[in-house]
Amino acid sequence: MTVSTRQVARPQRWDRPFDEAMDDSSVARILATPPFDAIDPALFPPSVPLQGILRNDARIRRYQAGDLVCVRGEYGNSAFFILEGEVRVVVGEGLPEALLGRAPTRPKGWWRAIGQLWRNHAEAEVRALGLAPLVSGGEGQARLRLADPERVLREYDTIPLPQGQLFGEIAAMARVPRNASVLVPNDAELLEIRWQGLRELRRRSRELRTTIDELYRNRSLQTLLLESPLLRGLPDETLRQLAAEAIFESHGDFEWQAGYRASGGGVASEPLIAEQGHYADGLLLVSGGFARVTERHHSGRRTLALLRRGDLFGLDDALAALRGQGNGRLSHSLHALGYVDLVRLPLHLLRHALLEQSESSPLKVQTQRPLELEQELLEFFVEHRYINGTATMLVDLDRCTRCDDCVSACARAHDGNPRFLRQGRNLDRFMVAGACMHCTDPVCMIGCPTGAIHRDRDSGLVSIADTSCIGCGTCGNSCPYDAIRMVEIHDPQGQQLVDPQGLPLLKATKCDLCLNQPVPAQCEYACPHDALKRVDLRDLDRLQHWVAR
Amino acid sequence: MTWLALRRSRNLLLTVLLMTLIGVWFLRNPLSVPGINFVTGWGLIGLTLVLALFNLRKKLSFLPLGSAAGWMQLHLYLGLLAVWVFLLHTRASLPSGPFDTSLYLLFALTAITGLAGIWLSRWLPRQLRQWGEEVTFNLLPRRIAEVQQRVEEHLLTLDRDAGGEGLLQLHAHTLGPWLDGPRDRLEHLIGSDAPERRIFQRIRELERYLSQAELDTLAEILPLLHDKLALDRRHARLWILRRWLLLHLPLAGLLLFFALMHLILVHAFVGLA
Repeated sequence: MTVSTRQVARPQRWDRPFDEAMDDSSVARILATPPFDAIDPALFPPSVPLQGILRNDARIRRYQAGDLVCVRGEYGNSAFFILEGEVRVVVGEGLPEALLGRAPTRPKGWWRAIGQLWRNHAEAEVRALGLAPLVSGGEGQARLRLADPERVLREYDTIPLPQGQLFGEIAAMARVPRNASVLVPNDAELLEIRWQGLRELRRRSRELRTTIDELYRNRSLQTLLLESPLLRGLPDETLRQLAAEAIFESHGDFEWQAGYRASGGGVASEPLIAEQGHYADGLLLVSGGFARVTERHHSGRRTLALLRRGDLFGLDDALAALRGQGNGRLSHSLHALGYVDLVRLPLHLLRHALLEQSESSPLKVQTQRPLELEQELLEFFVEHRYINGTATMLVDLDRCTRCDDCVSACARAHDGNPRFLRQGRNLDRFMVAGACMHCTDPVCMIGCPTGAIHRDRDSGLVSIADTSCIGCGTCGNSCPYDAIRMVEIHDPQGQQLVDPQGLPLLKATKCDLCLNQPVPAQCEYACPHDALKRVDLRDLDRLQHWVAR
Repeated sequence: MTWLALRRSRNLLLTVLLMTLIGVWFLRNPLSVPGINFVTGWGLIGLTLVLALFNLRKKLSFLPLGSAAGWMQLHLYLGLLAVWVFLLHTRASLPSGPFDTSLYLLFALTAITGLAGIWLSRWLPRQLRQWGEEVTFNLLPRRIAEVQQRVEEHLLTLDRDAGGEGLLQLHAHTLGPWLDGPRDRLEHLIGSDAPERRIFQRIRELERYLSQAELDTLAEILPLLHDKLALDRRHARLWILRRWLLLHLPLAGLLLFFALMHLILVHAFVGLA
């Protein structure tokens, strides 16, 4: 069967520079500014030169008094370097939504949704031609400005960051929400570097890597200590001592998905951080990633709990030791799952706080989340890293009649193209289907050259900006769960789009939880047999409730 | 009690309560027979229309009209209620005349296929888990073709002249046709083991006459033959799970049409009566 084709230019990584206005003089100015002046251009390959990174993955932004550079809780894919002026970081709970004038994501109305019935294309994967403006992608939106910045500066605690400082690197590197709002008190000029550029700079320049890593450790640590209920009430002096004496550790591999895909999952090779029966060497606070708490069971290790950011390991044992009970040894082991960032807190600084907590009031901090999930199901989720998911598609095979109403509903919401496969690994009657899980740690975002795959600002869901996707397949290859599919695309007339060499153009596609539809997660909504559920594996108690229904 | 069982009990109880109330009203109502029949008739039409809306709701999955699971519950129990009202309306007696008989039959068949459908929907999925990997219906022919190809690759290694004739003949007359796509749907549907017996009995009968090379090849292809059997079983069940609606929906459509005709005719002839 002959397929009619149409030739178009193949998209390249820097077809869409971060800012068209970046020119040679801007790049030269940045290269003359510390620490960029210390970077050796020879360290960069010809395909990704230093000047190219600064020209295409960075932009100079001028801010006026009252502008918000970023907002706490939103997802960002770039870091900022202060070229001129200063910024103020809002600490504590941050600014209220009303001050930020945020509008919620607007899904399609009823009429537009109904229109899908006849407007959906018969041809698969149709795309309109031509470069359309980026409709998402993290940093392309208009900035926010506070109506009364002086009042904000008076009423809220802020920390100044002077010229020459870097910030926002945590969100860019760790794929997490911004942990603070940053506002500009007076006119300032910032260099914004999107994640792709930051990654290359960090990789090639040792000095910049050290600077970024040190900032990441110090700032992440301070925020984390303040977030912990156990530590929040400590005197400032104790907190400062903790920050100074705490040891920041990383275990596992930040890009764990490569090893996972090769090995097919499993936990046997995961790094052991603390061994059951050994003496506790401080309290461990999780600052990023996942960890697994286990106990020895026959010749293996049984999973008892999962730890995420803010969770503590070793608290029960520490309390017992302080009360003179127990023998000071750990009653469980701790392993990394993929990768985990930990903070090791010295016990001698916490002695008073721990004793006070346990004597005066019930300790609200738990060493581990109480798990009521069936053991086998828990181990299954852990082994295959499904605990990463916040919207995992779980199918009850004993109730699923394989009617594909879920697939049909998904296709109706996506121009006739379903965004998941109703198949995957299963344990007994529960199957994890091949739909994007919108992971806590979205490794698919690593390596995207254009930032097309990103976290949506409002919902936090992992989305693909179709217009900026160049079809390189990096996200599809990175996803450990095969939830991203590369598809060949067609024009509205049904002709396959190919490049001048005749190779088909591809786009990355995946589940977007029906973000722009009147009804989210239409797969679940359309199942007539209560067989399909999008589960948040951060809430295992709720999952158990559904499993046992 | 699990949440699903609780829901089932609650909905059943509500339905039985409604049926009881309607039955009591029916028995005690002072209205004359034609008057009561109008009420039950209109009630039945109303119920049938609401039941028919379920299919429309499925097509409008992107609108917040209530979850499909909720609609399914409504459809199930309103269906039961419709059967009860139908029995009251017809006084549980057989009709006379071709039109009424057709209407009666359509209702009965629609109800029966509906009940059969819900029974299949609850019983068959559990069975599907028993047979190997989960393969979607659309991909089953491809999986079967892969199994067929792998069997043939093994058989190609046999040398007919050096004692490979037995197995090759078995393939030509029995295995080949059997491996060519999904087979024995009806037998698998009724749970018969006849397909399995046919294939493996032939193999057992032939085994003592095979050469060592053939026996070695047979050992390689036996697991594949079991895979094929599992795929056939899966195919049969998935087929019926998809196809029963092709019976239920047209019957329901015809029923609705006939019911509306009946409504028009009854009202047209009321004056004459």
